[in-house]
Amino acid sequence: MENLNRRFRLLIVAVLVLSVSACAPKPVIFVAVRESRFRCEGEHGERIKLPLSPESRERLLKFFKNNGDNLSVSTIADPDAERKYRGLLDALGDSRNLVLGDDMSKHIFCDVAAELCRHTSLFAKRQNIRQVIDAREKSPPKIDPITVNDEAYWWVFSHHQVNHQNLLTEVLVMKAIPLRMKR
Amino acid sequence: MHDRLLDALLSVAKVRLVAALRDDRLGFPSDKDLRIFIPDIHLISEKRRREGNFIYASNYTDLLTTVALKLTDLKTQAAPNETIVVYQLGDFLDLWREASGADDQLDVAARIKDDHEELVLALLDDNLNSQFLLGNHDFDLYRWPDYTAWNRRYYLPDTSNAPPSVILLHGDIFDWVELLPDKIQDVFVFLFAPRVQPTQYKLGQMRDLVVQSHGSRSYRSYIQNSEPATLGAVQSGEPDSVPARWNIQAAGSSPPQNLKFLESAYKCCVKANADYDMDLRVAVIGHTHHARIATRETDAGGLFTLIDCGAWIENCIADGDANPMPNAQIAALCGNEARIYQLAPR
Repeated sequence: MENLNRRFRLLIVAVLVLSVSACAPKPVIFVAVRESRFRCEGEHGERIKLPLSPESRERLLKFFKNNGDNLSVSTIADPDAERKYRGLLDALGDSRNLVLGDDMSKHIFCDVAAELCRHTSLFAKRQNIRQVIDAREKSPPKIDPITVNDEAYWWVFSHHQVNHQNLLTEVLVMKAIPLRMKR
Repeated sequence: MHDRLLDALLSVAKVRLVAALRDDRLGFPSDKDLRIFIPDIHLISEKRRREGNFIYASNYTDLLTTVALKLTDLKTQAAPNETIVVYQLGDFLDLWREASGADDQLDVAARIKDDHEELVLALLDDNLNSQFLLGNHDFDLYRWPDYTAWNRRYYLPDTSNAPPSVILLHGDIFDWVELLPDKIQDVFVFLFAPRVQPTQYKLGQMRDLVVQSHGSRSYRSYIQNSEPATLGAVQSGEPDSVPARWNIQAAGSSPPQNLKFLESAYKCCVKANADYDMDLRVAVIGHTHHARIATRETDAGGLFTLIDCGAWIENCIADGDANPMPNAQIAALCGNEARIYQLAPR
């Protein structure tokens, strides 16, 4: 009997916690574009075109080796960068991997970019965020990019419809800010 | 400028005049200032339209894209002393039908835009610089960074400090006036008072009211009108000259549905004029999906005008027409003259 009462009390607590969390204000989730030293871009500050050209691939790899800091003194601040990003950069160089699914509102990035995710585990189970604030632009994006975080970097992908198919067309990569501190 | 707009529309669409009113009492005298109003569009994604079994989808989206591009040309070719502003009057995106209620992740709006890329790019073009109102089907957008500039109302004229004579609203407030009168005081000030900006908390209250107004409706079979909206005596051919007064709805000569919200809008404007020292005599709205210009004499002997700009969803029917036509209307105000046009693809 005591056991039953205890279970009942736990159930009440669980229901109360769930009710309160459901009523709590939901945060607005967005990504802000970082300062230029922490961004990897094309020649004149434009986004990098996809599929990646050999030059763009080198540019990105150099950025990762610099640990996402264009002003890094060391040219190889992250010695593991090539191993970590080689597969993804190769995949971004092949237009077949840039095809997106029909429904880009899915909350998990790899449900949207399944072809790309077949070649990398970096984005596995990561959230797809559509709101990006880029203070350099005159207005918010008309068509919202899809954005994903691999823990170290934000990847902001622009996309475009070609023959009723959504394709990744450009990318902006920038150093991520850890959202939480480990204690 | 009205004629230039008409020429621009005629170059891309079949055009019929729904209503016209030229009257000095409209309170928008400048003939160098053209304001163009695009009413409710209610975009949803194609996938959602199919899976949700919605009877109505947005009408003629390709035509609307072409019209938006034409309006951009018109605007960029305007003389330095001329003003052209395009307003979308709310319910551009139909979040409510897309997600069966509000979704706290904004993916809903992004998904709709993904499916209507050309129209979205045309209407949101920086050169067109459309001004957007939040409607009751997309009110949730107010919380998100992309939509910071979208507003709840605009006033005209807006080029001087003179008290405004025209208010632009989505129009759903008049539902509340009629259905939820005890709730209206809380939000009236944030829709009509020119110098009061709502707090996030008050906007949340307004959102709650919007949600309450939706109730449990799924909008599968219709949104506003189960029958085609009755437009009255729409001109049968393309307009070559526009009379000073055409197809104006008024008490005594028009069916009651053609006067919907006229009294509510009048009373709200009278109250706002008294409370906030304004001179409102014209309300421009969408929401009802029923294009018409309705007028009434004011208690002080003036004229009050409701310009309901119609929609780009559901249907309408003109007197004498055998069949309904898809709603596809655009309205304009310039030089104390208001016009509403019905468009169709050429």
